[in-house]
Amino acid sequence: MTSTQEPVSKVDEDSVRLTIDGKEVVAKKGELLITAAQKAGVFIPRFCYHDRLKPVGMCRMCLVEIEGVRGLPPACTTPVAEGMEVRFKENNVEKAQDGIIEFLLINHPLDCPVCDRGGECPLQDQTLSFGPGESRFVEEKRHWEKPIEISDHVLLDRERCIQCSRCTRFADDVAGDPLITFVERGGHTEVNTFPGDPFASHFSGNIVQICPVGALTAKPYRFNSRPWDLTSTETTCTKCSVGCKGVAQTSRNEMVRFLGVDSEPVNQGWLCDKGRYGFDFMDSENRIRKPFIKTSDEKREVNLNEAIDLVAAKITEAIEQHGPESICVIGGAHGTNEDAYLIAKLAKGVIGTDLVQAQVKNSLPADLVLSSKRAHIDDLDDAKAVIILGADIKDSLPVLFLRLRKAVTENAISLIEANSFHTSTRDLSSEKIDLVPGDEINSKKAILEALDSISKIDKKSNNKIVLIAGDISPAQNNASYTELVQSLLENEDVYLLPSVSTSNVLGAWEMGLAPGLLPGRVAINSVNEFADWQKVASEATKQSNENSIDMTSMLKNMSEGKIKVALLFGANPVGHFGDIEFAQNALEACETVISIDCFENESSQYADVFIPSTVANEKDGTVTNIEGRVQRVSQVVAPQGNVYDDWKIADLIAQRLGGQSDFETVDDVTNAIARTATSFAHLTTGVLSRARDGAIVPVDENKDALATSIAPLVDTPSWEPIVSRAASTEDPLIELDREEHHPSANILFPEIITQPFSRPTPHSQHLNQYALRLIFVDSYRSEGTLENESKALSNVSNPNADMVRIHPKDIESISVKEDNLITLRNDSGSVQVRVIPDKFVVRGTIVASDDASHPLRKLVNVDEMVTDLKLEAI
Amino acid sequence: MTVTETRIITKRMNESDDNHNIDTYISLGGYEVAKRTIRMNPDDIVESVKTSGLRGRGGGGFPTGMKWSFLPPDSFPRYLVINADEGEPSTFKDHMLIVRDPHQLIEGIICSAFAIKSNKAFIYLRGELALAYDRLSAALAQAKEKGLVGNDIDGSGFDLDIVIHRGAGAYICGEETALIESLEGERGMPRLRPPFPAIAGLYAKPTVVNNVETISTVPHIIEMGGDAYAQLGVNKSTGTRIFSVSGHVNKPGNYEVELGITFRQLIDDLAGGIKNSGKVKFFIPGGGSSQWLIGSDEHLDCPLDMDEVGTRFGVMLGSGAIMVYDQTTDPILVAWRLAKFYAHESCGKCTPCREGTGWLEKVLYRMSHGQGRENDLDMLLDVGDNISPGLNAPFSQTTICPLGPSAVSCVVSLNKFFREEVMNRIKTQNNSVESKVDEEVVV
Repeated sequence: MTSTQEPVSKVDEDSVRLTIDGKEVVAKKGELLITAAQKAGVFIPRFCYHDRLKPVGMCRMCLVEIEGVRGLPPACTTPVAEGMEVRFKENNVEKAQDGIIEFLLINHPLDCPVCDRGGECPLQDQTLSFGPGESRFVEEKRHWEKPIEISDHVLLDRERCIQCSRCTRFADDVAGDPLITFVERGGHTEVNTFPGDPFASHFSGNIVQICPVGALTAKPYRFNSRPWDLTSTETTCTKCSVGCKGVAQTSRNEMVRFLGVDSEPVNQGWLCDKGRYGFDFMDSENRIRKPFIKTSDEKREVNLNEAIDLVAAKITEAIEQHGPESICVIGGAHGTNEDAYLIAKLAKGVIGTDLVQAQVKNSLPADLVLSSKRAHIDDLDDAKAVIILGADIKDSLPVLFLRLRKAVTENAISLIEANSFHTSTRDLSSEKIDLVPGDEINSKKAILEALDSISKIDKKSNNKIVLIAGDISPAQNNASYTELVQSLLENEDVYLLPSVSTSNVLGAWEMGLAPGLLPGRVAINSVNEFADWQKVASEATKQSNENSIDMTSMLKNMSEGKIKVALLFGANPVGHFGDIEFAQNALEACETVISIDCFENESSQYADVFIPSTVANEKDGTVTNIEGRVQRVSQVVAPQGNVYDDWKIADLIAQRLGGQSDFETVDDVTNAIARTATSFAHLTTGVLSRARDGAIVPVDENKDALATSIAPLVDTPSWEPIVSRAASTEDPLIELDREEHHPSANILFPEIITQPFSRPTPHSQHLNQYALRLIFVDSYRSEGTLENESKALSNVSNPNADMVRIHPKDIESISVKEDNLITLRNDSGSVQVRVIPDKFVVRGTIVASDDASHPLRKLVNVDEMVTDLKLEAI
Repeated sequence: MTVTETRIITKRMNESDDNHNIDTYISLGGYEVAKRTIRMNPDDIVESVKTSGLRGRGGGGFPTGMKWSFLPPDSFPRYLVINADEGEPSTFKDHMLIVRDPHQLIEGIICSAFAIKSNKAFIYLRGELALAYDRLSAALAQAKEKGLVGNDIDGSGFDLDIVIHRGAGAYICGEETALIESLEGERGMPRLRPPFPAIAGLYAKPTVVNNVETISTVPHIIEMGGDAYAQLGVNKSTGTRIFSVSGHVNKPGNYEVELGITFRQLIDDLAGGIKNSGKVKFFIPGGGSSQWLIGSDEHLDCPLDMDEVGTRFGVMLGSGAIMVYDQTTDPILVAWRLAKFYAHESCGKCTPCREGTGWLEKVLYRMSHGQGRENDLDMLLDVGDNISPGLNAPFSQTTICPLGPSAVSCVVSLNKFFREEVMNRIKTQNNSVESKVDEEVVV
C-alpha cells in the first residue's frame, strides 16, 4: 500500500546491500531495517515506531525473520547489515502479525463508529492488511472512565490506548515536558498525568496527531468530521515566524483541522498548540465583515469603493498640503510577502513616504537583520555553538525550541544562554550569562569568553555559531541590545537567527517595510531602472535621513501633529507599544487613521476608516521565516463577507492615487517580486511550486536548500509522519535555471545592503542600586486579539499574567505580606502588583509578562531609555 | 542409600544461629578468604570460577566465569549488581541465605567485585523482604565498621562500596535489564538487547548481574579451588545447589544438595516424601516458569542436571525450586493460579505478554471454575504459540523478555499431561453458554 518514487540509490561506501524476500535492496549504512524496507516498497506494519522518535521495539508488530538471527527480531530496532537476508512474507512472520493484532484487539473497545480516528486509523488499516479475520476473545475487556481531560486541548481514552508509548516518548524526549507517563503495570498499564499536574505543554497537540489509535483526541476537533469528508491542502503556519509546514483540512468551506507535515529543514512534523489550534479565530463572530467609516457621531457600513475613495482623498489632501512625509504606514507583518510588497509599493513608490514600520514591537532593526549573515534552522543540528540572547524561544518560537533541544540533547551542541530572566533553555545551556536590560553591550566580554571556552572542545561541527536574538522588552530602548548583536555579528563565524516572532515580519522587511529600505534588501536610494515605482521612491525620499526613524520618533511626530494620515495594516500601536498612553495620544492627534485589519482592537477605536482584511488560510501567497525561507501559504476557505486581501486593498488605493497596476492574481504579485526584489530574484511561482520545502533567499546563495530529495510517497491517510506531497517529482533547480536564463530576464538588480545603517553609540544604562529595572518578556499565552478570538486557545489559562518576578534578595529589604503585594513606583506613577520571588531572575530586574493589559505598562515612559522602578511595601 | 545434604554455602548457618553477627561469622573463619582474595590477581580468580563450572543460580544457568569475561577489558568503571529480587514462585533460598548468612554474601561480593575489577556493587533486594533487609543492612554496617567494606579494605588498596537498594514489589525486576532500569530510577521494564549489560548496563557502563546464591558460592570456590568444586555434581552441572522444596511434602524447606541426585531422592530422602502417604501427581521443577513433570518413574528418576532435564523433558531447573503436588490436586486450578501470577506481574511493555497473559488467566479461570468451553485448551495453546512460538524450552519468544513465555508453560503442561482430565471437566461441569466461536477459526 505504499509506493515510492525514490530510485534505488547508487551503491557506494555508505551503502549496504541486503535482500528482503529474495529481492535485492540497497540501503544506507546504519539505517533501520523498517525504513529501508519501506523505501524499497515493503511496508512492514508497526505501531510504536515513528520516524522522529527513538525506536523502542514494544508493540512487536514489525517482527521479521532474519537469516542467522534466532527468533523474530523487530525490524524497527535492527539496523541493516551487509548481506542480511530478511524474510517478511513468511508463515512465522504472518502468524506473529495475526497474533499481535489479535492481542491488541482483545481489550480494544469497539468504538470505531464514535472514534475520531476511524477512517484514518493505523490500527484499522493494519488489522485489515495484516490481522486475522476474527478474534477468539470472549472475556470481559478492561475498563476505565473515558475520556479524561489531560490538558487544555487533549482528551485521553485509556481503553483505546495500545500502550505504544509514542505520546510519552514525545513528551519526554522531544518536548522535554515529561508530564505524561505510564502508571500501573501489565494489563492495567495506562497513560496518565501526575496528580495535580495536567499535561500543560505548548506541544500537547502533537500527541493527538501521532497516536496510532483514537486514545488521544483534540477537544477542538472531537466528533467534528470524518477524514473522507475533508479536503486537505498543504500550507505554512503563520502564527509565528518559524513557518512550520502543515496541512489545513476543511469541510464545507470551514477549516476544521491543522496537522503538522514533516519538513526536514524546518519543523520535522511538529507543531505547537498555538499554530495547531489557533486558526479558529477566523470564524469568530467578532470578525469585521464589512468596511465602515466612523465620524464623531456615527459608524456607517460602506462598500469597498466608498472606503477606498475616502482613503485616497485623505492621502491626496495630506500630500498636497503637507507633503508625503505626513503619511505613515505601520504594519504589513501579519500577512503575506505579496501583501507587504504592495504595501511597500503604495507607501514608497506611490505616496513617496519612508515613514514605514512593519511592526510596533521593539525588536532588532530591519537593516541589521537583512545585512547580516543568516543562519538556517538546521544549522543548529551541528553548530559550533549556539547563543541565545534575550529570548525564551519555547514561548516565542516554540517549534524552534524543539529543534534546539534536540540539538543539545542528542548532538551535544553547546548552548550559551545570555538572558535577564529564567528561560526554558537555561537547563540546556552550559554557560549562563546575565544580561542587564539597557546595558546589554557590557555582556559582550562574558559571551566571547564563553565562546572561547567552547571552542576548546574538540568536536566536529559546521563551524557556525548561531546567534538566536529575540525581541526586546517594550520597557526599554533597543539601542544597547542592538549594539551587542551587531558587535557579536562582526565575528566571522557568527550567523544570525532573528527570533522575531511576529508572523511575517521577516517577509515584511524583505519587502522593504522599514525605513531606508526598498523590496529585496535594497537601500532606498539605490536605483533600479526596471521598476519605475522604485525610481519614484528613491527620488522622493532622497532627502530622508538614512538614520532610521524608529517607531518612537514616528509616534512622536504623530503626536506633534506632523503626521496627518496613518495607515495601519494589521497593526495595533496602542496594544503593543511600550508607552501605551503615548501611543493613544499619538493616534488621537493623527487626523486620519485608517485601519486595515480583521478585528477591532485598541487602536482601531481611533480609526476613521476600517477596511476588513482576509486572514491566514483565506488567501494564497508566500511568507518568509526566520531563516529567510520563503514558503507558500494556501487559501483553503472562501472568506465570508466583504473582506479583502491586504495586497488588493493597497493596490486599489495605489490605483486611485494614480499608480499603475497590472496585478490580477496573487501569482502576478509573486512573479513581480521575483523580477524586482533583489533578494527574491528569480523566485517565481514556477520555482516555488516545485520546491517542497520552499526556498531560502537569496536563492542563488542557497541553492542547496532547493535541492530536495524525493520523498517516499505514502498513500494512506493513517500515515505518520505526514510527508509533503508538493512537487515531489520535478526538480526546482531545473526550473530556476530556466528562469535565470530566460531571454526576457535582463534584469539589473540593485545590490543588497551589506552593512547595517550607522547608529549613534548608546549610553550604557547601568543598573541603579536604588531601583529595579523592568522588562517584559514574551509569553506563550499572550492576551493578543487573535488568541482571545480563538475558541480553542482562549481556553488556555494564564494565571500569572499580571504578576512580576523579582530575585528574592532584591525584595528582602522590604517585608512582603502574605498576599505578596508590593508597590512599584516611578515618575509616571505607582502600581500595586503581586510578586513571585524567583532566584533565576537577574539581580536588579523585575520580569513581567508582555501584555498590553499588564498593570505595569502604565509606568513605561517613551522618553526614558529604560524603566526603573522603586520598590516599596504596601 | 538415602541421600543427605552436602553443605557448602549452608555450612556456617547450620553451625550457629548467630551467624549473621560479624563476630560469630569471623569466629567461624569468615572473611579470611576475602582478605586473601583481594591480594591475588583478579584474572586468576576469574579463571578459577570458570574452571569450577559455576553456573548462575538465579534461573538462567549461564556459566558465571564466562559472563564475567564478557566485560570489555578497557572500559571503566564497571558495576557488580547482586540480584536479590527473589521472585520466582516457590523460590525461597536466597531469602534464607541473606537472613542467615548475610556476611557470606558480602564476602562473596568482595571477592567477585575484585575479580571483575569493580569498585561499586549494588544489591537489589526484593522490597517485601523486611527481615532480610534488616539483617543485611546491619551486616553491611558491621562489615564497614571493621573496614572490610569501604576504602582500602584491610589495607589491601582495594576500594569497594556496596549499596543496598530495595525493590518495590515487581517480579519483573528480577529480570536483569529491568532490574538495572529500576536501579536507575526508571520503570522496571526490560531493555532491548543488544546491547547486553556486560557492554552497557547500569548507567550505560559494563555491568555484571549475578544471583545471591551464585555470589555466595564464590568464596568457597576460591578456598577449595575451581578443580575441587568441579569434582562435585555431574556433567556441566557442577557443585551444589540449594533447592526450595514446597507443596505436599512432609518436610518442605531449603536443601543444599550435590547436583546429580534425582528428583525422587530430593523429594523422598530429603523432603520426607508425600504427606499422608500420598503419591506425586505432578511437580514443577525450576520455579513457576518451568513446564511440569509428573509422578512417573521416568520423571522422578531424572537427575538434577541443568542440561539433561531440558534435553530429555523440556523442563528446567531454573531457580532451584520444586513445587510438589499430590493426587488430590486439581491441575487446572494450579495452572490458573500460575497464569494469574504472570498476568499480575507482566510489566506491560510488549503487546503479547501484556495482553496475552491476561487472556490466559481469564480463560483458565473459566476452565477451572466450571465455565470452560471445548475449544479453550486448543485456543490457549495457539495463543501461547503467539507468545512463545514453538512452545518449547528454551523459550522462543515474540516478547522482549521471557516472562511472557513463562506464563505459557502451565498451559503446555496441562495439555501434555492432563488433557483428558481437562476435557472431561469441561464436558461434565460446564456451566457456560454454548460456544458461539466458529470451530474453524481456532487453529
